[in-house]
Amino acid sequence: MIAIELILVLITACFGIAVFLERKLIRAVIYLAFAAISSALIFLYLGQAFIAMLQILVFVGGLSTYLIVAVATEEKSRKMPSNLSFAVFAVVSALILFQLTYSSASPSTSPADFVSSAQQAFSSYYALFYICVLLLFASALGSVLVLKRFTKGSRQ
Amino acid sequence: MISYLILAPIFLLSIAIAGIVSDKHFVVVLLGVELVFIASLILLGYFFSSAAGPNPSGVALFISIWTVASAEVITLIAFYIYMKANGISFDISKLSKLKG
Repeated sequence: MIAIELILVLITACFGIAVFLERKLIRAVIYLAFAAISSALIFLYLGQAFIAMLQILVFVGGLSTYLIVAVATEEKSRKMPSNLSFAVFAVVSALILFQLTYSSASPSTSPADFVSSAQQAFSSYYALFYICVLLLFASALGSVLVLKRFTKGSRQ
Repeated sequence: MISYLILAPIFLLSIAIAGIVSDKHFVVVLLGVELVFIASLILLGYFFSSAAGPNPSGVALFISIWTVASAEVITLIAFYIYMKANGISFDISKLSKLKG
């Protein structure tokens, strides 16, 4: 069981790293899709088959597909940043996040306890969550309309 | 006892932060933000799979994260098409030339 968990962690991390180490944009987007697929495998391992299906539907079938279509015309390789800076930032942030996660989790705290306390904290705010999410989505669509107006103006 | 699966969102988030900070390409920075969303989804799925039964707060948060990720990709594609059509550089340090 531990071996399966570690393999899933390794696969996800490898695809995450590949997104930033790839020169061609379209391959970076494909690696992002594979990272989403590996996260769906993690959901399957946790027994959440419906969430895994929705993850593949939304991230791979929807978002990655649109991104691939959009960047497919990009032929030039991009300018790569320094691998040393990437590695340093990755190690430092991993150490900080590891310390934060394992210092806040006491041996007596189970994930179920955390969930029940989170439920009590957020139960009054479900409507606000949905409103905020819809507002963000509307702002994204609004940005498309504004850019369309800019494009029309620049053509004239 | 927290399982080793919690390492996946930790590693993914640290890789995404490193990529967002070190890379200068506009599209790659936003792909890093997508990785942050995937990491948060994994962490959310891990904790809410430990709940006793179906969980409405978990469902609400899942839908929230998926919708925000979709909105971000829509914005990314819109800006990408605009910037490509107008020959604007994808270097984020030169994005201030967009104004005016």
